[in-house]
Amino acid sequence: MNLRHQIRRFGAALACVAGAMLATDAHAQGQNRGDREQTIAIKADTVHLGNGETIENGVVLIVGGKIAGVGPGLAIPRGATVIEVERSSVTPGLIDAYARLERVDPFDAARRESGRGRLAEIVRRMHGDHETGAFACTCTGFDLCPAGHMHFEYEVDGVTCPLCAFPNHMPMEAASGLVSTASLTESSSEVVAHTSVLDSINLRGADFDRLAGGGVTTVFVSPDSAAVIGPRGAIVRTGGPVRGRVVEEQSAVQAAMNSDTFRFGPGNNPPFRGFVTNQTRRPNTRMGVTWVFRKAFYDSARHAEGLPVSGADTAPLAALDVLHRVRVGEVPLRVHARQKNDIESAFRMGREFGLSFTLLEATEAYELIDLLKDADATVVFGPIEADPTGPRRFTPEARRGRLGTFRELLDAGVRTALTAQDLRDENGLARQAMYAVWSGVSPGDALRAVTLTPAEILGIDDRVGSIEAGKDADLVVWSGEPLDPTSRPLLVLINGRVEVDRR
Amino acid sequence: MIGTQRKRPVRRRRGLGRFGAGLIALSACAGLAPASERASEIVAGKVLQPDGTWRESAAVRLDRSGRIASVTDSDDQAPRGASAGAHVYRDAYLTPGLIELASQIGLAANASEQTSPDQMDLSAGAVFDPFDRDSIAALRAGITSAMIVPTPRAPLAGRASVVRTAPGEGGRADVVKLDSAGVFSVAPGVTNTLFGPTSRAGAMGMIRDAVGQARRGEGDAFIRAALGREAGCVVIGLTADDVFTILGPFELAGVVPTVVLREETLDLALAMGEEIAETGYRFIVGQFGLSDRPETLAGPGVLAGFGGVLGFAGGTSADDPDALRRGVALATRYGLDPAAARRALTSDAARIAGVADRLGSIERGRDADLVVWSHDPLRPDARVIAVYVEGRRVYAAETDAATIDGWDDRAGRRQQR
Repeated sequence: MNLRHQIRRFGAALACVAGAMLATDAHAQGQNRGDREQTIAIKADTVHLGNGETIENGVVLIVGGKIAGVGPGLAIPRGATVIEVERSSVTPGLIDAYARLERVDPFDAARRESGRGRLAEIVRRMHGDHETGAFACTCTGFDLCPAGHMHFEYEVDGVTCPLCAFPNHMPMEAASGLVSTASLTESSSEVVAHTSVLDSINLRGADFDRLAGGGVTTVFVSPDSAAVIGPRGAIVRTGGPVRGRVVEEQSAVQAAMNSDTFRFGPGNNPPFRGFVTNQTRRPNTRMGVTWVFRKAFYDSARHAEGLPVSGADTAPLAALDVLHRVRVGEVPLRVHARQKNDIESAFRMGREFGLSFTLLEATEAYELIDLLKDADATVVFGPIEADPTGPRRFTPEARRGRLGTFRELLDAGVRTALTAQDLRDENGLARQAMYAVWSGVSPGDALRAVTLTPAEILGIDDRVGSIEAGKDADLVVWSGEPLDPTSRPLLVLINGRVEVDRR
Repeated sequence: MIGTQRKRPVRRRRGLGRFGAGLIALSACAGLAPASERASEIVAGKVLQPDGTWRESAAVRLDRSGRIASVTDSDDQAPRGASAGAHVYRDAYLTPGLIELASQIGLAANASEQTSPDQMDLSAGAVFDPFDRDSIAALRAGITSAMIVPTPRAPLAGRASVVRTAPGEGGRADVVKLDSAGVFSVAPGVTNTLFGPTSRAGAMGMIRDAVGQARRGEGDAFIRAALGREAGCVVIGLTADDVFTILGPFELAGVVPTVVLREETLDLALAMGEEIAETGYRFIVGQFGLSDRPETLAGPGVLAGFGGVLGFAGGTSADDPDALRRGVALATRYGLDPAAARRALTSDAARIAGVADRLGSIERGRDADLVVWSHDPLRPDARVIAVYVEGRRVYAAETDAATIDGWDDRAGRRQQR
């Protein structure tokens, strides 16, 4: 049965929807094929190369999705598509080396809205319309209705469930089989380096469109810090054909040296009557976090030598294999720490096991400029904000930030990239570079911190990060100077393909 | 038929006492006929062919073991009474027994063990109850077999089994294939805050690990068999994105699993496109109802349009078994080819369940699991007239039968009321 025949059968309204989708797809494929040969020339008042240099009245030539050349008054070949916007500037596509994605999935929606009706709706979607039986509380085994009636009242009153006695227990979700930890990170163990964040995210999610709309073309998709040694992150493009978006599927392992590990995820509680689960066995102090980190790396060394590992907190063996590869330098490591003492702990652990790592967030880095300089550290700093927002609001660790920290790091010669983490649009990555300029950093250095520096840190600077012949044509055309508060990304190109067009 | 039903209870009442009488009364209420002689020939006005189209008046001859011996053009001039045991439904439609996939029939919420995320040792068929109300209702709705799956509460959810909805010899469950497929799921129901996994990444980690071990020839013997195609693999997701994610490790292993997805099939179809036919993907879609959005209902048609092989899922124990047929009819209304829809209920469903050599089509050598309908089963007003399992008529709707022109039982009891 051919497709046209298929579409005719849909009914008028649906045919429009599906037809448009098919047409877009076909168009995209056609365009993609064309891109291999297509030549595009972008003319702009200013071209920021990403390495700190600037070309006035420059031309960027793109052939087959790659940058073919850049320079002032470059000859434009015949037949090239010319993009020229008055008073515009061009930068490389921005790179966020620590992007935290919004989760777009049914359980998270249930948790955010936290309404019985919404949850019941999802249960219906999953299990059909019946309202009774089949659902049991995972701690008591009692049958419940899908909306979790029995537990719901206790939750509203803010007292512990008298049956299972877990204060942070989420019985509504547990009862319905919908378990949300509001976390991308697997938290069944404190060491889950064998899992990959790419398995948790939706590459078709709307968050990528928001990133691309803000001029961000490549991100390191970061797990959150719900486990001491979390999953491996992934490097992905924010636009283009979904199958071709993943740049690196298994990137760095990300560890957390902070209190998130016992604040986020399912929460840690003292064992109740010896009933040990993944809600009880985890650390609930900084000592515990350090211990889990140390034991995991110690065990990875034993495991690599074929010696047995033991103890209640022993990590999955597959995770230990990955940590062994971290120790020998095959897999990069990132450590998320905000407070001064946590950053110090991270470097202490690093010295103990001979690890080099990239420090993330580093809110109180201004306290430790000398340490970072001596350790030849690499930092992904940010976001710069007056008051902590998002997940950082709920931890006391992010309250003592300073506007000038990034400048101090750069002045000390510490290799530092900027990140916006979960912030988008008006607080997105471009704005982070703008705040850096307000604190006294030169525009060239600020731009480098969101383009070439993160590309170097992620090890993808041979492909992206600056405007240079041979690199992928990930470019942003701005309506003015990129760090001017009134300018916006007009065009975003990924691999030479126009993904955002606001002309 | 009425005669035999009425006689037997009288005879048995003495032997079985009050309890037995109750049981028999129940079975009489359910309209289930006691196991009778096998029919030797079934003649119908329209007979469904394996390609999903109708063949005009054909006679299906059965052998003594309850298999189909031949399908020939029926001859109206055949001498009456020449073959005792010939059942003639002249204006009726004859199809193979419908096969419901990813079904929970007869499981009574028994098939979800949550003590560990690895339940690959559990076969749904081991806890199947053929005397469950659902099983009886399904049989009356023309569903003679089902691929039952464990409730996916773990990433390695267990093994799917193919069962008949009618009880077998001695009232035992008639399990056609106990280990039909390994079931893997990343739908939200698999996460568990107590024992893990707590995230899709964790669930995927377990699946990758299990499949990886099987590829190296280690780990669970059943998963190795499933990857080696001795059994199938079934993957379950709630969204199209779940499906793209879970297919990853199977792609690496060179295995093409059957995909279970209810919503977002349109997204899946448009994203996969030509790849569906090239790779030979099979899908279990549904169950659909009148409240579903047009995009949801259009998905199966587009999947089939791209060359996907479809089967339809059943509902939960609280659903009306006719919902299976109604869902397929809705998908047909939104673009699914009617022949493909009939195949999705019969021959394609049997292929997906891995029992195509025994069930799902009216061809020589297949078991004579047959259903007589008043109309094309895709029509909402079609009713079941009779259900045969291995050539035995296990259900007959008497009132309907009387309304069908020329309904005749050459076994000797003419049913005209």
